[in-house]
Amino acid sequence: MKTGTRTVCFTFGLLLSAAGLAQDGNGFSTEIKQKAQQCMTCHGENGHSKNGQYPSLAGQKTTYLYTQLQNFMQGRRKDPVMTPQAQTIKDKEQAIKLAEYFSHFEPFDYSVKEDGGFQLDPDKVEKGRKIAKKNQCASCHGSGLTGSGSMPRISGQQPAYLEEELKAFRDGTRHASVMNSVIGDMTNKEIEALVHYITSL
Amino acid sequence: MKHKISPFLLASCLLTAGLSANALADEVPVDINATQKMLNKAGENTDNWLHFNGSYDSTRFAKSNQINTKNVSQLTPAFVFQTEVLESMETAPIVINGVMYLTTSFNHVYAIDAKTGEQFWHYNYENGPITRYCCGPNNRGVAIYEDKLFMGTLDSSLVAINAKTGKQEWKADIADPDLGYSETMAPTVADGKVIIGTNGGEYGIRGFVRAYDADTGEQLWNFHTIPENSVGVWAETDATGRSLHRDIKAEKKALEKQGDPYKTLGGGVWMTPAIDTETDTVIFTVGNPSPDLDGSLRPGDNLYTNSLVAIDLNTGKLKWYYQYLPHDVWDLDAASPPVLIDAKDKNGNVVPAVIHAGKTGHVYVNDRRTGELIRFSEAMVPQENMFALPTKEGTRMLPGANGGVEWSPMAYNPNTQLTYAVNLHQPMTYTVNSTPYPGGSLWLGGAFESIPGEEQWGNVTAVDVNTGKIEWKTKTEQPMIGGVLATAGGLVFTGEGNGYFKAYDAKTGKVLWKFNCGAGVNAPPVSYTIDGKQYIAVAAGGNVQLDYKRGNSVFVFALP
Repeated sequence: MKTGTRTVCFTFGLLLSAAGLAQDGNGFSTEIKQKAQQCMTCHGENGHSKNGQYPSLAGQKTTYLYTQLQNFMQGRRKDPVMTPQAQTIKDKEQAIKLAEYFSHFEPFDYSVKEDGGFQLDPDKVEKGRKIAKKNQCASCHGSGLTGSGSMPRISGQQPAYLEEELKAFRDGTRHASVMNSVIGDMTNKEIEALVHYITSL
Repeated sequence: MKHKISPFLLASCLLTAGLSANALADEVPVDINATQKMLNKAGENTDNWLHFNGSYDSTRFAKSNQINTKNVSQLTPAFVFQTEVLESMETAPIVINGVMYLTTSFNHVYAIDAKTGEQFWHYNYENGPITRYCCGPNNRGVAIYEDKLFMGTLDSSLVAINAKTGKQEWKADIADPDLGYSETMAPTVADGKVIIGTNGGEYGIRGFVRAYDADTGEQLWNFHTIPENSVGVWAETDATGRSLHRDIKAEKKALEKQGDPYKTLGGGVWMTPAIDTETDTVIFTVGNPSPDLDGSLRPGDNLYTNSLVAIDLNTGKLKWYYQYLPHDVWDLDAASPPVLIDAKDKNGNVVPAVIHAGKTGHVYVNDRRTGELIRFSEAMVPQENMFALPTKEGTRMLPGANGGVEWSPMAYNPNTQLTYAVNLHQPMTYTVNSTPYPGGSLWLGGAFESIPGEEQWGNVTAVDVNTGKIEWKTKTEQPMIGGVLATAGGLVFTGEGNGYFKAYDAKTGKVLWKFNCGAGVNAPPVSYTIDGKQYIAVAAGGNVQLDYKRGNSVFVFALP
């Protein structure tokens, strides 16, 4: 369960005006920027998360962000915080615009210095590198695991979030047939090593 | 990678240079007009390279012999053209009147001087916000017809570009990218019809091949690669006669319960069709069913997936089909493009034939008039535990899911009557994990994973099309992907993931020359001649699928 600290997100931003249609230099309307402010309550300023419970969104692939919003909106992916938040998105077009908005920021780049709680272990990094090679992570997630098309950027992502999601794929609580199969038989230690490798990139 | 031009800069450019928003730089200084006659005779003309695969026959055979087995050791770079896009390159450049048109990932097109590498113009297509594509943001090239170039885009559109100016002339939306439709293949054009298939077999699309009017972009016909009745004949074996281990009884029960799965059955077309200009027949290979590894959701033979298909150029109506691998659950689909040649039938009579290199590791020879299988070659790569069904735990079977032979086009030399293929050996396990149609997201129904500790490698293989015997096979240190060029100089050119671009003796497979391009050479080479000098060009951009080192360049070689 992911309740607890995330519940704070419910209380922010819900009263923001949706009337603004003016656009900034990048073509984003006031309405979208106001909507995005809600997201930033958890996902950090401009989508750079400072909390391992929440993924960074900045610079993430547009199609991936949009797909996840759609998955939450349509019930294919469930989360006690995101599911109700996704219900506040008006329609497909607004979901695409939100995805484009977060995608246009400089990509997230998690730094181990910034949270003190995560220290890279060289042995785990090496073990994780071998796991990533065996599972051909780069063939979907792109060179350096920086994402490609609908496949998410995972290098630079919050390590705690990565670990939680990898376990969710393994345990079948998050659905994506490839990831469910690839992670299906991994131990906690292997997942931990993979996270160390991804974070080292 | 994104290339965004600031509004201020763009406005400045428009004001000062009067250029369009997506074509920056100069016009091509010569007239460009690829007539139908030139396209028909492209295989005879050594000056130009007018089709992705060299000719409508797709033999990738250059009749030039200036560079040959005796002097190829002296081959040296004439120039290197660097693009702005550091990502996988699968382009086969088009060359006409001394001008080269090449593409990159993310749908950039460059027009350059094919003798010096000087850039004329750069066209950057702005893909829409939603793109879903398998195996990298690739583009394999443009087609040319009269004064226009044609390119498919990652967001499933077809654009026509003025070959002289680089300005877009029209755009046709092909299909909804949100449902997994995308374009990476180079189209082909004949009689004013731009012919293009679709990717998306990993996303639960319903595949097709279409024709568009070259002048207007209007759709002229559509052929569904998945018919409404996709069940077939409940075939229990593949083209080689081996058991597919199907549970036909269970499939029939599933069909009763679920109905025909044709709406989400996949059947993308990865590569440029060949065209038999004598009979106005478009011949292409159809890829895997969706979901790739989970057969439980798609009872039946899954027509026309994993098939060779022939349709009428003028109407798009089916002429014949031949299914290599019914009800595929290993993603061992028909990706590499068909090649039209003359070959001996079972009685020794020379007949119009069509050959295809399968992911299974065989070269198949079919009668071009009927689709009937004439023969299949010896296996070019190890086959083990063939057609063992994927399991939840993972089943080891060879070849791995990339083949065999991937999308890489073969080359055929009519003088040696050998066809040249590049192979992969990647031991893998196949895992099934049944999930319902995810509404346009990736839908493999499982996974294929390489096996740690098991060696991977590649081959360049020459196959006798009249016997199916392997004439020679030269091993490479990495699995091969990219494509082949054969020349009348007795040479075979192809590149590797480690950066080496090599020339082989067409008769023996001996490596006669090599050059390291510094990034994976995973694109089909081409040949052309300017001012009496033969050039060989190939892109070195690496490869997403096999994660070979990325680059951004086209290398062009000539004798000193």
